[in-house]
Amino acid sequence: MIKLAQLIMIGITVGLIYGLMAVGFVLIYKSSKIFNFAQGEMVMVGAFLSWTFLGLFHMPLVLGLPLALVITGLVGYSLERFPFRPMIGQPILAIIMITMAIAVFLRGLAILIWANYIGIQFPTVIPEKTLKIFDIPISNVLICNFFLVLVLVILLSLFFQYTRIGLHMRAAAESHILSQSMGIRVTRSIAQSWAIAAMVSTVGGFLLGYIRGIDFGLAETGLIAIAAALVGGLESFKGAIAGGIIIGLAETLTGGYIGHGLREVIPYIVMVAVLFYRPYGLFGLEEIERV
Amino acid sequence: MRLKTWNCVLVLVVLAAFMASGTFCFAAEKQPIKFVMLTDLTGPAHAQVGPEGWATEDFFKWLDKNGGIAGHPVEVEVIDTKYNLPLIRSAYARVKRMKHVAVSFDAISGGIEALRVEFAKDKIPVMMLTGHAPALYPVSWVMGTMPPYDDVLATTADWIVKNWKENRKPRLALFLGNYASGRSPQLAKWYCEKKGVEVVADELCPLLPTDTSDLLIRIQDAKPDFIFDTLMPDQVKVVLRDKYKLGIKTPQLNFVFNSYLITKTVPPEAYEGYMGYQSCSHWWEKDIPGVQLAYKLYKNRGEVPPGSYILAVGGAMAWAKAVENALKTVGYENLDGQAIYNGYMQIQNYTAEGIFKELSYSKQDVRGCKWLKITKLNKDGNLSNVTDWMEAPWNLKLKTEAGVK
Amino acid sequence: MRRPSGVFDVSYIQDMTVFRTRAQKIGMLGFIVLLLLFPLFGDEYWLVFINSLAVTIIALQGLNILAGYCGQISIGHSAFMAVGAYGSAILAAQFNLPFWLTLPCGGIGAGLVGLVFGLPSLRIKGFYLALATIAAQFIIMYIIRTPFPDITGGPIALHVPPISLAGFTLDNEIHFYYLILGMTLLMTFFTKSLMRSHIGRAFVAIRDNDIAAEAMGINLYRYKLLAFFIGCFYAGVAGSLWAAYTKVISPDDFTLMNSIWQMGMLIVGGLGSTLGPFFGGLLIKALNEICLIAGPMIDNLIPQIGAQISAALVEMVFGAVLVLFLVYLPRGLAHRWEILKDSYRLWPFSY
Repeated sequence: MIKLAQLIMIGITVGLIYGLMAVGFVLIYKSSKIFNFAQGEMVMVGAFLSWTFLGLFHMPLVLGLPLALVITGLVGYSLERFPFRPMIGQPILAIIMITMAIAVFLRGLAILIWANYIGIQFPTVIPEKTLKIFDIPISNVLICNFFLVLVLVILLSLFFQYTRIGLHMRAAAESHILSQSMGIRVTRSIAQSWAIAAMVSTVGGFLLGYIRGIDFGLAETGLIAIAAALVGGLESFKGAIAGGIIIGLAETLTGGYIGHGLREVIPYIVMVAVLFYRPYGLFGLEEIERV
Repeated sequence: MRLKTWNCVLVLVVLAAFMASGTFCFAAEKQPIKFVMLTDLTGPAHAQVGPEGWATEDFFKWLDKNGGIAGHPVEVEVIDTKYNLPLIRSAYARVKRMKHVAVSFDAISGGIEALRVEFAKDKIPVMMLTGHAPALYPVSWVMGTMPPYDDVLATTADWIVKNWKENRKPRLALFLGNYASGRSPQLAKWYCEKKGVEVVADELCPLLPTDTSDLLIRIQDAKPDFIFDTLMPDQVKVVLRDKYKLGIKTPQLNFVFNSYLITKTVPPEAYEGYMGYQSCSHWWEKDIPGVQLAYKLYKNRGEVPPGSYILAVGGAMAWAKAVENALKTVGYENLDGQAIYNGYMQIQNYTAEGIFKELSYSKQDVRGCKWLKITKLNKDGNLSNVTDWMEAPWNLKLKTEAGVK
Repeated sequence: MRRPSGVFDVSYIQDMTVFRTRAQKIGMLGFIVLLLLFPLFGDEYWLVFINSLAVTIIALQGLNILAGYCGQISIGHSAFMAVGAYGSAILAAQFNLPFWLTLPCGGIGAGLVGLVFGLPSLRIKGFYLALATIAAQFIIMYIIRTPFPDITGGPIALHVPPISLAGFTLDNEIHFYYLILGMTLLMTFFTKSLMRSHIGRAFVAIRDNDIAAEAMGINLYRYKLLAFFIGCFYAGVAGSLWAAYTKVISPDDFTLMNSIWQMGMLIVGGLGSTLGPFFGGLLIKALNEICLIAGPMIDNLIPQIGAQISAALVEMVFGAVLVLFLVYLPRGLAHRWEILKDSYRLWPFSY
């Protein structure tokens, strides 16, 4: 019984991390209807960049992390201008492949700049202690992570619901022509959404890197995050978090009870199952296609 | 008009691409000797293999400044092919036609098995710095520098049996990294069973994990007395932390023991008592001249060279020695694969300035260094010897001779 | 299809033929003769390059049929190649079947697996189908890697017994060159013929608007699954050839990155055109080689960069080239080639 509870707690905390990465994905989809396969690589580059400031140059946390956020935000903003503005209206294959091309490019760039640093990790912010909740040992870092992610998601939802910029982004996502006729600069909205998604990815990279160290494998987690976003529904933040938790739980339960390496493939099996029964995800909006 | 410019530019680029690759292929080598390393610096195993590439580069650049080999200048080229088999094949095809070249190859994927047959056919001896078992048996033109990982598991079985005092059978759990060489110890499971060690669990750790508690819980359910792992530093980091959090105290042995990196990335209470194998001297044995050389070479990159770096420095020295032997026998003009192979065969009881216990090659045994010792991490970050140098049994050879499938 | 000036079509056969003028026929024959004679004067490095390029081209033709002509996005093509490779290797190793049997069996096996993983295409499309095929990539590779290590050699590698055709053992680059060349020509011919038939037309209709195609009477169910079967059959054949050629296969040869690269090569070459795979494969592979050669040279010039430059360059160049092509030349090199031919024929009135 303890074992099951342990596995569930770990699954939820790990799943939240996937959920945070999935939130970045959903953000971009909600604002510009682009499926960002480069999500994992953005998290990885964000993690490396924040490490460069915090670990390599030894800046304090309050200076280094915002600096990394600003830089990635600017890069995200400019990404709209070059590859994504010409892609508006192009067939879906082109949009998918261009984000994949960016993913490969970012991976190469990360290898070029940071391959010489192995075994790196962030300087400690909070000393790690093992807490016991209901008799189950769990690290206080994971608990902090849990709350940070929740706060972030709530802030993002509020942002999208109540601020003007958020409203503009949602309108731009729904229809470019109507938004432009209402006076909304669609290109600026898309650029803002990319900037915010890049910043969320950097925060995700920081949290993830803090827990497990920074290396090129962060990009692989990105694909699991995309699966999580799909399971939850591409249009909703709650869905992204829920999808992340479901996949996290599936992973730890499979690892704990079945083993044999099935753990690695279970996110994709879950995703395929969801695709078969509810292609639009658990909280997503159904799209009706007409001829 | 614009279309025409585009088209012309494209055509010119493609033509230039062809001509460029053609010219570089046919570039001839002069008096210097070239050492080429085909490796996989940036794949999933990069924490382990990366330093080996750096060591090759650093060592030969240093050797070039310090007299070269028998007076000949030395060039080094490290080609990173990132597991990509077509790239590996074309890089090898390009390299093997160059004259006065010695080749090393390090792919922790199936790449080396694919090419092993070609090495023998082309009569080019290739030095291998990692321990991929199927490449060393059946014996061919691949020269090893450390016992392959299944031999390490076999040594573990020997060590457990030698020190086991209780009546029941000792229980061993395998926690293997999910990559090709990481799983190769499964080839030695029969040896453990034969020696009387019961293998009770066999779990695979994903390459870059976020949390491994579920796997550890599963392993602990099987109640092992020892855990043998083939985890790389990124995995070790997470596993040791989770192990400490869960309160699991089973003694655990790592197959290559990157001890310095572990002290830097894992808190002391988590790594205390962690054991591992060394096939050569490591960073803490600073009175050995070979290790001091490694420190000197590593200066620009960091303070303390990781274990695989020191191993690669030793391997590079052996590599250079083989070429030196070949030069003494046939001279520069006739330096080819066969001559370098004979040069390897002349290496007996070589210690690479103390890095290895001893390195020997013969036509029947190309494993190079057969010695392993177990060391243990203490809470203050220092290491202590658990055993003296033990000879590793040659698992694949014994397995084939025993007729086990 | 623009004809050179002075050439008119007066019969249906003339209208439909692929090689219309004598110059085109001589050009094609000359090219094939050149290919056949190449081993006499080309050296081994180029043989290795062309062999692996040609196998990739066969796989790309399959992907072309699936994604280019029929519009079903598939980013799991490498996994189907793996099915063909492992299938034919296991049949040869366990049951001692000769190569001329294992090759089609590998292909058909891959086609059937492709059929199963193509079933989602009946319900979903676009991005969701791409994700389903990515999931297929991981699931298939998991099945090959983990549960049956005794049969498949597990994650380490599987040795393929040397193949022989009609009693003649192939163990030389040149032997494989002819075999692979023959297979490539055969599969390209097959692709072209297939796409000119009613099946090809149905595929194109499905690509353009599948709901309208169904309204016109094309059985979506049948044709989508057929596209998956044929596309993956090609992948299986390519995989079997690859296994026979390299004699050792391991799961690391067939990863998600390989699938993404294949799709990228196809886009660069041009989707929906039989020439596309040739151009795309050639350009990307040539760029790879250049990066591998340039890498150590750059490392010597600027030592701070470190030896990882060659791998990093390979990826960065691929990403950059793909982005540039998608933005500026979305229809690929094959389309550019058509425009080049047209502008040559219409000169001085080309625009």
